[in-house]
Amino acid sequence: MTALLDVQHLSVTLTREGNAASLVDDVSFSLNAGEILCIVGESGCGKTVTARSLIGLNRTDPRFALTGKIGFDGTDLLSLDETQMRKVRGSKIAMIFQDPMTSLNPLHRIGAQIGEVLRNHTDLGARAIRERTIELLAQVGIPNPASRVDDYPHQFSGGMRQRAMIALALACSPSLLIADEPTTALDVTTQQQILALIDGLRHQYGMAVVLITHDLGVVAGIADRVMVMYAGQCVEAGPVRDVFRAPQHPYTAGLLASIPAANRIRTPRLPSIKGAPPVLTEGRPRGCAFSPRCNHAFGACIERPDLEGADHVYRCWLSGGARAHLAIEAGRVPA
Amino acid sequence: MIRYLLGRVVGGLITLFCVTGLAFFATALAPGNPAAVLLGNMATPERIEAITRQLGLDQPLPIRYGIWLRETLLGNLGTSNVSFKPVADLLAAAAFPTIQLALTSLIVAVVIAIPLGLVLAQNRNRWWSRPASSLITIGISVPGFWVGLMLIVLFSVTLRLLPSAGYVPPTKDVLGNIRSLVLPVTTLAIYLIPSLVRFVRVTAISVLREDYVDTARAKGTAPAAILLRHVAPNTLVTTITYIGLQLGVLISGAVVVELIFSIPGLGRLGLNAVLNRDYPVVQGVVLMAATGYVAVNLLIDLTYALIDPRVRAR
Repeated sequence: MTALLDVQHLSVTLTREGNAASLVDDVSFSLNAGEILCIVGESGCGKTVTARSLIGLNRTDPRFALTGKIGFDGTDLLSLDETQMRKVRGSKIAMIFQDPMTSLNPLHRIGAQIGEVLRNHTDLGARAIRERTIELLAQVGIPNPASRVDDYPHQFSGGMRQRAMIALALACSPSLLIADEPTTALDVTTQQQILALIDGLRHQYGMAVVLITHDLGVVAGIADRVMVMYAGQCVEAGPVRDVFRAPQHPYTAGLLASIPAANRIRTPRLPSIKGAPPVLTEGRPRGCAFSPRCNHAFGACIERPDLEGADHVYRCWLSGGARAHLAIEAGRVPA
Repeated sequence: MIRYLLGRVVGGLITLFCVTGLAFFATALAPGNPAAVLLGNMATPERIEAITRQLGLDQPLPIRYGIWLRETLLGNLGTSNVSFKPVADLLAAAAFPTIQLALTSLIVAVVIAIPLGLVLAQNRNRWWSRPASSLITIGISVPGFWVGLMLIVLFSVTLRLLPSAGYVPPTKDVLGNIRSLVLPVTTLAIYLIPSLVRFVRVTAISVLREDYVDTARAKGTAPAAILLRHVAPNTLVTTITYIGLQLGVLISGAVVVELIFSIPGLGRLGLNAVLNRDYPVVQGVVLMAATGYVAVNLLIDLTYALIDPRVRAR
């Protein structure tokens, strides 16, 4: 089975006032149809830039330079010109954003904003578009969709707006949905509903999902695969069960240790990772970017490690024995 | 919605009251006696006193304002101290040229500036965007009267294409009316355009950074459609408010342009009235300008509600 999405050596460089900063550095991953990949990491680690690169939101900005390959359904998206890419956006790849309060145009009716996708990519007439829009709103759980379709965004609550955004994304039955922290701006009960909705719809539509989050609880609940990013690089990636049970990178172990969860091995204080991630626009640290914050750093970390492993990959110099110990540190196995 | 509009109307009336009051006391504070101006060479202390009493200027200031306010509310704006014509007639004659000049200039400026600002915002990362924006800044710094004089030199004196001064009413000669307005309108529009372009450009750039523009791009909408459908309306909401605030600039610009091109409008009427200490006419012109300002801003609030559903909900 060939992967739906096959990203190879993706790098994104931002050049501003003569300074070039590498925001995404040699990231590779692949994703099969119907799978959910979660990208996790701290703010500014390149998660969002990676996601926006997939759908090509930053490619027209002359300050961004993208290299590598984004294989999608057999074509390299980076080789497409902007007109071809526009045909992919909204129809085969759709995206929903972090803040549903600002991602809908306040001056247009909900229905018109969803209908715009259908107008862009289908030959449907006005009536058919309206019917399909109402159907979509019903599917994402908006009550009274036939009357709500004519509402303006300010008449919708935050959770309903995110539902409307999901309806908008689903309009053309895309094979890939990119969700950039879709629940961060919502309250906890709504978060669960939205995630359950996304999970249900991916089964129904058979679409792959790239979900960006910094909530590892979400990852455990919904994802098939997980990719941990640090300072623009993939530091660890693999099937969720493997990564959670046996983290191979100290950063992943640190993230896992800091989840407040009932099944975690109790310590008097919730562990945290010391220090703060590097600011990528100020230059990348030499060698392993995590080494200044790592409890296990040693001489080899001055050199940059490569990605090791096959299905479960990691970027760390530690020996197998030392890495096996990380699961205990993560609080996954009793010491 | 009704409450919102009612609030605006009441606010407008309060503004009118304050502006006319302020103007009344300010003109009275200016040195110079209307009676002395009126009498000129024939002024003697006795005559000045007689005329002063005849004009009612011997009364205390607050009482004079009270009388003016009462008469105005009853629809009587008084008569000119100089020409002894009713102020209402003078205003009616002068209003049309000014309104025609100001409105045409504003429309020309808006029609040119809004698309220009949007295009500059859309292409903010192109190499020609910076020089174009610098040119606009230069445009803001050029005084309006200088542009007017240069236009007269070029089109009237050198090329002899257009009249250098005067105003032909459209009731007399439509073509002549248009010809007489080309240069004044151009001058006033050039005066208004740069700051408007800059405002639209800055506003549109911030709108382009909004999340819903990303949403539109993620839908596969073409850049031109994004600009027209999403960026332009959201830019317009703020720009309309800005235009309302710029009306003061428009009015003062119109006064200067009327003087350069000898157009018998409100600006010239008002200026002459101030120089002659012709208080009733000054008050009439101020009332007229303030009413125009308040009325247009009320209209803008209505338009605002038309564009933005969130305002309608209030």
